[in-house]
Amino acid sequence: MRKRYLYLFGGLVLTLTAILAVMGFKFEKTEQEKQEGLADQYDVSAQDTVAYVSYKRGKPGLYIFNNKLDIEEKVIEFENSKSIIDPSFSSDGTKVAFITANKNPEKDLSSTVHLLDLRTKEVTELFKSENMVTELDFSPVSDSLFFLGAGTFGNYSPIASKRTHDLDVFEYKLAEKETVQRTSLKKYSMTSLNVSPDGTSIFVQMDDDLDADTPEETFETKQRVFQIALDSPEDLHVVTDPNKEIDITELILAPSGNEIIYQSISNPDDDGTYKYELFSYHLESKKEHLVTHFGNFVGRPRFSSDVSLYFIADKNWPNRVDNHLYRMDLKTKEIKEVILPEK
Amino acid sequence: MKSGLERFVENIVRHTDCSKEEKEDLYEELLIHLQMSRGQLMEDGLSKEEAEKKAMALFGNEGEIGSQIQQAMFPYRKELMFTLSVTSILYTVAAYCLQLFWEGNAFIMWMVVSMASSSFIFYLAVNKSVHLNRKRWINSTLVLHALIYLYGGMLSDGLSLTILPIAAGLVILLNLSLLYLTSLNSFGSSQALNRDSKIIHALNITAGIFIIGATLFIVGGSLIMIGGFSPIMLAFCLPALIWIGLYIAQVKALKKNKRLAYGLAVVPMLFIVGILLIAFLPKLMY
Repeated sequence: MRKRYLYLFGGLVLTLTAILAVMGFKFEKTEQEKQEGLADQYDVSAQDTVAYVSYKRGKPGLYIFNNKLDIEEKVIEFENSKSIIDPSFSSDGTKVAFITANKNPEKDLSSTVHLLDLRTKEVTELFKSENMVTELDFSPVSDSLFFLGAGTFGNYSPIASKRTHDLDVFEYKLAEKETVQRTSLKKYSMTSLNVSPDGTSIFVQMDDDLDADTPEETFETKQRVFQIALDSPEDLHVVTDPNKEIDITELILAPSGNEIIYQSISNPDDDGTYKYELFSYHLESKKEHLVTHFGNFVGRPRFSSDVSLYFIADKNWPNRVDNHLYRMDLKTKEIKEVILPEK
Repeated sequence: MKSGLERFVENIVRHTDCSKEEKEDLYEELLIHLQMSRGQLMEDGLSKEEAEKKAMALFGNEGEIGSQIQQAMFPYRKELMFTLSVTSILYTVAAYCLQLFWEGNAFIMWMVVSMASSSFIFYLAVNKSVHLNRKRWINSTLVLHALIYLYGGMLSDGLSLTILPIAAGLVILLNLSLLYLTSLNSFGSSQALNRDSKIIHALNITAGIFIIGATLFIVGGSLIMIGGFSPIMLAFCLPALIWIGLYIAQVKALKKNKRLAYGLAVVPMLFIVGILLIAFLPKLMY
């Protein structure tokens, strides 16, 4: 090859590299800007109103949608350094509580809990917490908002990712504006806070490590569903199958209080990517049934009533998140996608 | 002072990618051939100087002859290197742009290094420069390129585009094939040494692919899981460092103690077999 062509090739590659590098500097997104589209943070009221979180160039927005009542609006938007976490409807569907926290909790662990009044569309700040508030749930019987608070964010082991730890259940009394700590467990992990319909106990997902003494036993523990009596929080017990060898990763308690829907791995023996589906578990008969058959990642179950189960399916699992909201009629088992205006 | 014939043959030999021993063999063979031709021409009545010039003229241009010998010794290697270079550049542009516009990630450093490495492979394929030890440069560049693409292959993960990981796999496969070809292809009469060298290099390249591939996979996985650098990652690199040390020791031992060289070559292979047995034997049994 002639030298002239070699120089031409070199020049072209150099120019292309320079153009690509300039494009990189211009179009690279910061971690805060990367979030886009429907998040897996939502709740549904008894009237089928959906309060959901969607991101645009990293900015979280809280949206309200009800097809039957022709409601479709953006309530509030925050800076791209913030996340909106766990919007939760009150039992009568008139209020939505939600958390805002830093996307990078290492910088600042504190969270703020807000309250949206759907009648006035006014958002007020309920309280700020030094600890990270990870989940909310209104008490169905009292004027209280229960929440999970994490004391630390980090990794206990060098080979573990950074997460919230030292978790406990708290109660915020709306009238008195005071917070009461309801458990002293300092759990390594705790999710899916559900207050029972009679308001006397809570259901949470935790590691079943009460009898684990050695590191090996701790490593072998499974995640199960616990019921904790609010008047004697040290009295906690597993309500799901204590011999289930597959982790239960999140759950929702049915409005009737006698059934839970939980997320678990549907293909634990396969070598490939784990698939997550929803299962129903009857607390009296102790029977488990597979509810969804999506073959990807189904989670975030929420009830609007005894017959309507909502959930999110990530159609692109395990790659780039592509969340879609679905509603299942529990009588007919018919599943329909809920087309949200701001996805 | 070297004769014109000797300088002529040296120039031809420099255009090939042979090792030092191989070049010595080739030099000797070509020089004998030209000396015989010169002798014949002198017998026909030419003076020594005239016969030397005529013998060289009849033989042809040294650059072209060198390239022809090179092409005969390593057929299709030039074409394979072109393909590797162009495919790598195309993959780099595609993976970089998709990561940038779909995910918002700008892997500028990887893109620059990958473009440089791909272009250098192109340059080595067409270069007739006699100043470089081409075999060593090609091998070093191919090893570097393989490492760049083991990382680059991970960029296609998660983009939901099946063609991209396939392209990355093909680049790595082509790269490794060239590495084997360049390292193991040889010329010359010292066949006994060459056979041992070939076996040692083949064993080590194969072990290296497994060990470095597994190391990068584990370190990459740890980076994702932990979310940053941790000193424990240095421990994960230990098998790769031991492999490099053993490889150097084998090449040195090969000249003096073949048994020792082979003994050392078996160590990484046993390590790999052990790991594979631990990983897959339980699955095969149940």
